[in-house]
Amino acid sequence: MTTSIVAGPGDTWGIPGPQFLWLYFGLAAVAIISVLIWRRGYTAGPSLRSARDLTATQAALINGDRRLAVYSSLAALRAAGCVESDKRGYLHQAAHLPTGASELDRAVYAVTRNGITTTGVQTHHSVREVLDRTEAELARDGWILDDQARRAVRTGALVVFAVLAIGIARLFAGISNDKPVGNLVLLLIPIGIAAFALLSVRRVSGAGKRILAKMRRDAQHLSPSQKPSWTTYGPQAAALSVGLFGAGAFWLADPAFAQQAELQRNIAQTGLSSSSYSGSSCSSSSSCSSSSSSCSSGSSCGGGSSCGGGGCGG
Amino acid sequence: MTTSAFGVGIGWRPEIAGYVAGLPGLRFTEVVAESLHTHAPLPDGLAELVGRGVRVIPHGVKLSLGGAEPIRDERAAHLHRCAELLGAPLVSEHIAFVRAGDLEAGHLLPVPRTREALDAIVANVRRAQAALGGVQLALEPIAALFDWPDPELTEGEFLTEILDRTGCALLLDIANVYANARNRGEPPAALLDELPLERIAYVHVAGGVQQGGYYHDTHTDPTPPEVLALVKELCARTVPPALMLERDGDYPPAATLTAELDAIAAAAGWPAIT
Repeated sequence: MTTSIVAGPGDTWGIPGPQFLWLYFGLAAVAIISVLIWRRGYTAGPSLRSARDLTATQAALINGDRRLAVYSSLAALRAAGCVESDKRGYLHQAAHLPTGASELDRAVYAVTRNGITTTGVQTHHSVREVLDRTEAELARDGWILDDQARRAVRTGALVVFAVLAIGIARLFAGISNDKPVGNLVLLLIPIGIAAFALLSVRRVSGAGKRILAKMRRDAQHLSPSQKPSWTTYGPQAAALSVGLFGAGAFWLADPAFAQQAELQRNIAQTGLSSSSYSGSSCSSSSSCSSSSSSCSSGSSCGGGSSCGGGGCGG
Repeated sequence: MTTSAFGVGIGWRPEIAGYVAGLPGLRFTEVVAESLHTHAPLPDGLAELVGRGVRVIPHGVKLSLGGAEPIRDERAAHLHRCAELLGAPLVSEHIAFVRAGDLEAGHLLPVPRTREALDAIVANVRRAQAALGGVQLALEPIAALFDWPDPELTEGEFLTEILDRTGCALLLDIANVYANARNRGEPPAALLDELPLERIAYVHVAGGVQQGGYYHDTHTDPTPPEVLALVKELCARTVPPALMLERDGDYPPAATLTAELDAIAAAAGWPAIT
């Protein structure tokens, strides 16, 4: 059987079906590829080559949200021993702020002067002001896309929706013309999926994701799987640990405070993947009255803890 | 200034891995063998150290060489695989027992210093050596809060004979020497006179605390000046290949660890690694 490519009087819109399918496929491909290229201008973000590493606050805002940014500051303040939580979950100042505290650390510390819940910290105007400014800087530098930029990028999908509309019009015309439309339907499905997929615009740019991944690699020792010692690494590392690896890092390092201050556990949780070292897990059955860190099974103390009378002995 | 082969080191623990990796002069460390999974690649931080040429020794804690029953070969084989993975010419274990039958003590427990126990240990060490396939084994005497009654040999005789009969090297824990002497009311340097110091593979240094009339070798407290004095005493007699700080918990700020490592180097008369 041969297929005529010459327009006949019975062809829908005067274009034979197979010829339309090829033309339409080409149009859709060009439209989708063009939109993808155009989007990259917005979503790629800056080159990493010249970029400096982000601060803990910036990392937390890219990786998670404003809550995580506040948690990362609380991590710094906890590691420095300058905030504590009472039984009702109110945060209080416990010592002076150390030097080297970030702008958000200072703002969070200041609002705990008279006792405040973690949620209260997040919504306090002086904390929000710092977060607003930091988010605006991240958007300006291309690490994240603000709402305006995301709306702009979404408009690109309209081109593909227009192509989809042409196909649907042809579909109805073909049906009313009593022509076979199976192949056209098969072509319309992926174009429709692509059009809707292009409506979604991620908040974090490609460069934002890459710089987070790079910083996580560089700071692997701060991953919760290592159960990093905040005392040894210091406040800024504690903040970075939470910013890069999520609120779970806080729960592992300072569970008593995390519970009292009612920190959400699951924000941006990463870094708990199994490592080939099992020494970091602490037996929960330990009745050790001293610090929980002395019950690491990775110690050289014969697999036991140093609680009880014996000491380590190894 | 006397030079040692590897200088001062600190035990690699995941909690402080970033600190350990950041020590500019580090040439020697140790990892707890039971915490390594040999079917998986090395943890990133450890692989980086090995790549840098830092000597990383697997340190076993659960072989139970001092147990009455034979050691489990798979535990010794694990030590061997760790040594292969780390490129280590040496592994270390304790002269202690950690289990009896299926009961795990969770602690390193002392062995009675009798001829019978000595024979059992030598048999276990030889069994371990067979599974280690040529990788050298260093044996570490432990600190204990009590001694079994009626010892047939002194600690020095007991250890020297084990080393002589097995050909093993000595991992001397200077903090254990101090702890035992102090808890027995003996002069700490006396044991040094009895031990074959030329067989030292490396030396452990650790902190402890005096509590309830006993000195506890906790590994979670700072190294006391008395232990540092014993380091000085040891290094006046021999030049051990390495001195390694064992810290297993309650990790202090980096500056405190640095000061402790510097104090060990100063006591030995060696260059600081920080």
